[in-house]
Amino acid sequence: MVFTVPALAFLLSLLPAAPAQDEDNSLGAKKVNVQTASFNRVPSTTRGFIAEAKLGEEVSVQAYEGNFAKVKRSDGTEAYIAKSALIVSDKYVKGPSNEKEMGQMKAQGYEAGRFDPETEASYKKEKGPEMAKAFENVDAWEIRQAWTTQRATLSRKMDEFRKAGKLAEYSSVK
Amino acid sequence: MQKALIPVLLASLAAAVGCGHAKLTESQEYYVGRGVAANAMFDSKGAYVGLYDKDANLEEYVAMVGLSVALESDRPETFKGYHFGVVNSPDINAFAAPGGFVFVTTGALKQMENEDELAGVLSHEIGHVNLRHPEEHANKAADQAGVMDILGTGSHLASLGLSIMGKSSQADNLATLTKGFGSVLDGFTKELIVNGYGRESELAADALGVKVLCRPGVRYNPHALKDFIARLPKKERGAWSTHPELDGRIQAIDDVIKTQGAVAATDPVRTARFKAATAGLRGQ
Repeated sequence: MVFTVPALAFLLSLLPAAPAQDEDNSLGAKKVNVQTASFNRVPSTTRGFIAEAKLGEEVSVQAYEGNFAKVKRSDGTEAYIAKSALIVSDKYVKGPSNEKEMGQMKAQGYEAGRFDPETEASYKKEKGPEMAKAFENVDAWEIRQAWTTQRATLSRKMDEFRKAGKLAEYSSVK
Repeated sequence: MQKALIPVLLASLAAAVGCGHAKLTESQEYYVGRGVAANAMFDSKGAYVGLYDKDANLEEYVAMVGLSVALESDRPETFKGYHFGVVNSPDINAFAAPGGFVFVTTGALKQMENEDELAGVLSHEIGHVNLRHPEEHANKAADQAGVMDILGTGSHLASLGLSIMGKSSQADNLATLTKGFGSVLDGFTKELIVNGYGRESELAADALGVKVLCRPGVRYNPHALKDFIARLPKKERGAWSTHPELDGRIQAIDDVIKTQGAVAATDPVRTARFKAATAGLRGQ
């Protein structure tokens, strides 16, 4: 069904803020709003790793400690996760993160209306082969750095790096 | 039937979404960041230079230094995590794109003397990401390009499970979005990568960057950032020449350091691994 222009204009005027991340300190139900994040035993991203956080996973925020939220997960366990990884549940909007998801979401009624894989593909087509080559380079780069998204591995590597470089808890400055 | 449905739908939308200005979501920022990354692979004359990918160890090393800072910053998580890249360019520059894409040029790496200077430069860029300067610019550029209404419509109607556009409207939207996407990326490529975000934002990124360097979970030498920028000859400052006036900037960094208590010194073991990681760049 297609709306008339005035109706659509009115609809657009009602649109709300869709914050990229949650900037409030409210407690209660929030969702993981990023693809790479982890639950940890302590307020840290690379220490006390428990599990990877899944995009869209709902948690209940109990308290805040600095840049971290202390949350209760659906299985009842408590953990810490970065505040910047969470958004209030009713503001959470899932977008496609790759071509496959794009197809799945389109089948569920997702319409072109975001900067997403479809916009990127259209932009590459418009700009020509040199830009397509640059995006291929970006893809290869992201694949090379995929180790940064595997949080258990990353935690171990970061600890080794800090230790060898006398950083953080291995520094002489306490 | 359609006429009867419209008021109900409008009322539902009003109740569901409230009022205000739309902003890019985390995932949209990520796609803008990828676009900036792709555009950063061309030099100022439009020639393709690409990332310096001849040395995977160097790229991983730069990422480890960057992550040592980023994961202890105020914004440790972005949509698909931070990415650190080395751009194959003789220009002395570093810059950040939305979504946590951070770049340093081979020219800048060659000018650095140790790991703490690299950490200082990356921490400044991470400061921009923490303060959402790239994202603010992307939102403003998207708004100016006239696509924010479409972006908002797609996001929220999709979230409500509603579909209101016919195929021709979708095609029009995609064309408009593609144009808007290009406008947003042009802003980064033609202006921000070279000129930065303006004096106030650059000083704010310095201040936050220095504070993160001093945190117990980091402990790099915060003086290294000013050592790096102070050492660059004016004619070789490139993009750094347009950062806040040098003396004032160094004084401002010093003022922040004084508030941080005991700070780490540059450790020789870090300098040794920096020299080993960048030896290929220096032809050693």
